[in-house]
Amino acid sequence: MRAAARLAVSLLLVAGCIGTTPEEELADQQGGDRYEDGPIHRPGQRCLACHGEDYTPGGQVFVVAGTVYRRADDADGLAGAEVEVTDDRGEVFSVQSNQTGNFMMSVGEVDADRRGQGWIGLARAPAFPLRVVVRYAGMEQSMRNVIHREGACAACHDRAGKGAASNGKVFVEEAP
Amino acid sequence: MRRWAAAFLAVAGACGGVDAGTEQPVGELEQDSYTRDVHPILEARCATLDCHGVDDRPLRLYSETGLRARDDLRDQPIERDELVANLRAIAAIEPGAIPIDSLFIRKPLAGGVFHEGGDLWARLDEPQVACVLAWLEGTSDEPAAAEACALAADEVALPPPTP
Repeated sequence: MRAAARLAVSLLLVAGCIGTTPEEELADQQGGDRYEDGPIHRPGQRCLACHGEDYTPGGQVFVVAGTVYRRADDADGLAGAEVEVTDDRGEVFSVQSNQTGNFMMSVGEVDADRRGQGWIGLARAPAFPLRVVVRYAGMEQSMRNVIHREGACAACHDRAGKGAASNGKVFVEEAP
Repeated sequence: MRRWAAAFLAVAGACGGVDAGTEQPVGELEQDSYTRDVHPILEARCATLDCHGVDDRPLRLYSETGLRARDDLRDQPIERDELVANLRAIAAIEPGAIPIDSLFIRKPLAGGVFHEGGDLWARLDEPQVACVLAWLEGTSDEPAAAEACALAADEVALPPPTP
């Protein structure tokens, strides 16, 4: 009986470590989603949690993806922002954010019905580290440091705001 | 019973984070040249939030643009306590190791030990690694080291923060 109790406690501990999927983790951390599936969904969340090389229930693998906001404290994303990524080879990739502020880059051609929705297909994977500039209506913000390997902007730019492990949202306009 | 207890501790340890602690000695690593010469290199090459700027990663590194020790430090200059914590993290990797053979040098160096973040430096005579190595060896004040560190500083300089 005691052995069974020990086993049960051990299993509970293990479950606590590995028992959640990325979707569940995101839902727990950041709530649900008011948009339908597709390029506009889950703005501000960590896109590569479900669109990464290792785990792809979303069906598409992105190399870089995120959400742009006009100001760091805005609740909704900004449409039409230009996101320019320069890789270690000096190649420059540019995409415009869609109606929820989302943008995404994948390798290979984008399906015709997804073009123009903040999604660009690259001929080859960008070489990290990456430098990023975001522009909108004459305003510009550059990342001070580089991205070494994380393609999901929200991994380091939590929509919950700035903190010890977050630089806050990706934005183009300083608050007045 | 002992085996079960060991398994319990192993599982519990795997769930918990790593605390670098604040009571460990820094050892012989020199703080001024770390702050002046080495930290800017680590900030640009190692300490981003997607690499060693992660709280529970081995060789956790604090930096102005990466991980901060507290939420309210975001957008503030690096603090002395954070720099000291970095020194403790570096000193704890391989206490007593000969600098040129240490993991701190060999992991990011091409041809060395596997490094998840890839090869940062191709050769030992590159300015950045030469500067870091001189610091580990306690020779930062020598002319060759000063020259390497000056070149490295130009290579890794970050743009200033937005006013």
